[in-house]
Amino acid sequence: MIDTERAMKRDCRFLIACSAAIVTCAFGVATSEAAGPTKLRAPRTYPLVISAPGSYVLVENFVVPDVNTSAIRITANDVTLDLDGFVISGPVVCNGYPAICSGSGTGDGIVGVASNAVIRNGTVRGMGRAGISINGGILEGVRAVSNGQHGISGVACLIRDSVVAFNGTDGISGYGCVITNNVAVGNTATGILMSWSAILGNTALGNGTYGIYTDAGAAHDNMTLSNGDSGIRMFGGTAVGNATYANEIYGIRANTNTGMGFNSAINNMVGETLSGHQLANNLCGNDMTCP
Amino acid sequence: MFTSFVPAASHAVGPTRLRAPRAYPLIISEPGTYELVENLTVPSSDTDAILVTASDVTIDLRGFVITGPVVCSGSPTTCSPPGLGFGIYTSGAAANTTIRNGTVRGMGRDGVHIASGNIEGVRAVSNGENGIVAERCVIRDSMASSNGLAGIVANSCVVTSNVASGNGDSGIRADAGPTIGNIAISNGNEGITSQGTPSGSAVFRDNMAFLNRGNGISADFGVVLRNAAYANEEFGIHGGPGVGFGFNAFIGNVLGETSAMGAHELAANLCSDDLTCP
Repeated sequence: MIDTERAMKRDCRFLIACSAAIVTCAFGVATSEAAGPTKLRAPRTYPLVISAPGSYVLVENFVVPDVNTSAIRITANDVTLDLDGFVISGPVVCNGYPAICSGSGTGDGIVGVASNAVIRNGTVRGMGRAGISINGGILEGVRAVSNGQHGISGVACLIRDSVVAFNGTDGISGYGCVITNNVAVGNTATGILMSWSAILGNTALGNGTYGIYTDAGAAHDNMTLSNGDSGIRMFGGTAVGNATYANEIYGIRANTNTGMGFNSAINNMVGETLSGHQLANNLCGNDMTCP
Repeated sequence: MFTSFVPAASHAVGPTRLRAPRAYPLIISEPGTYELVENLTVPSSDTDAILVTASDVTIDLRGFVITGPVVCSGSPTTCSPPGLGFGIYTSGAAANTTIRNGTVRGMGRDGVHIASGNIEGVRAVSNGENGIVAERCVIRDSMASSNGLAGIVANSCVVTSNVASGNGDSGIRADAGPTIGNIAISNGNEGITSQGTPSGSAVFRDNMAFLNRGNGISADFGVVLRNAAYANEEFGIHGGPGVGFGFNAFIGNVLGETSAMGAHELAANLCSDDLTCP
């Protein structure tokens, strides 16, 4: 076990930093340092487990060995993880519009099983299952690309300024969030699939089914184009100020609990809009008489 | 009372680094920029963590956590133990304070309470009174959850892209400023409101309020545009004759989609599956 102990020391030598911050690597070793965010280096064995509140920063890329291995698991509340531009990567490769992936598994890039995590500023690529999954918190400036299932999922969260591309199911999914200024491209299923959420100012392009799908929400100021089903699919709420273009079914397909206004729907293949109530004028093709 | 004045630790160049003091509160009495370099934990619910007595102070929490002993839970939310301590508090004439990027949890009173300035990327959780309180400010990209009173209390502020959930009172109580693109979920009173504030006036746009115990959105004066209010236990919107509203959706609210208090329909709204709102 001496070799193991040496490895433990080596693996954890950069899991260090301030005060009482504690990180547990695969061997359960905890180290700490004087001050500043705890620096995270790639462990010898994944996942790296963050089990104490505080601030953490990656200082190198992480590479997991197979589709069933998670990279980082957060088990404490109130963790902020700055990826600092580094990449967490796995073996899955997804290509095409929409994406077809080489495989899937049970490994997540970053999974938060506690609440109130913040993840920012880096890339998660090629994981077997989700790129990032959190339960309450903030995701910002993240790129979730080519993961075997969804790119990002969150509950009671803010997701902003991020890119989700070519993931094996949905780009962004979850419940009770504010979703702003994101780009969802080429995901196998829906670009942005959110319940009870405010979906504001996003772009969904070339996804396999819907661009944006919500069953009770506010979808405002978004752009959807060239998605495999309708650009926006809503089961209640408001669709205002969106532009939908060249989607394969409808531009906006809604039910009668949806109000629509100031949208444009152009060159959508089955029809520009279906159902919903007009709160204000919409543009359908070159006509303001929307069906 | 023992206190610690900053700079407790500083570098020649760059932000002054803040470490946990031997005795709280840590007092910032000079203008400038400061950053946490470790978590702070106060010993009791009566203790302030950081007291700002100077104007023009920026504090970057750098992802660290300010923690106290208060725990809030249940529905409606109740907190214990009671206490008088704030997480971050500005006193006297201190103005123009910026707080960013970290968590304040478990304080006896408010998580963050500033006279004026900016609050961004802050998570205020499980504090005995309000999560975030500010005037003449911008509050954005923040979260306030499971606090004993309101999630966010703002006067003359821009409040944008925040999440307020599971608080004991209203999710967002905002007066005399735009409140845009927020979400208020399962709060103990109103979802988003300006009623009961000094002027009762509001610009509420692009927000979503659902499953709150009071009204989804309420105001005495102002405009309410492009919001969605669902399944709240009172009305979807509750507004007086000084309120204009349009392009909203109100669905499945228990007492009714709109109250009969005289708010004016500026443009069409959706009430359940009908454009004829009562």
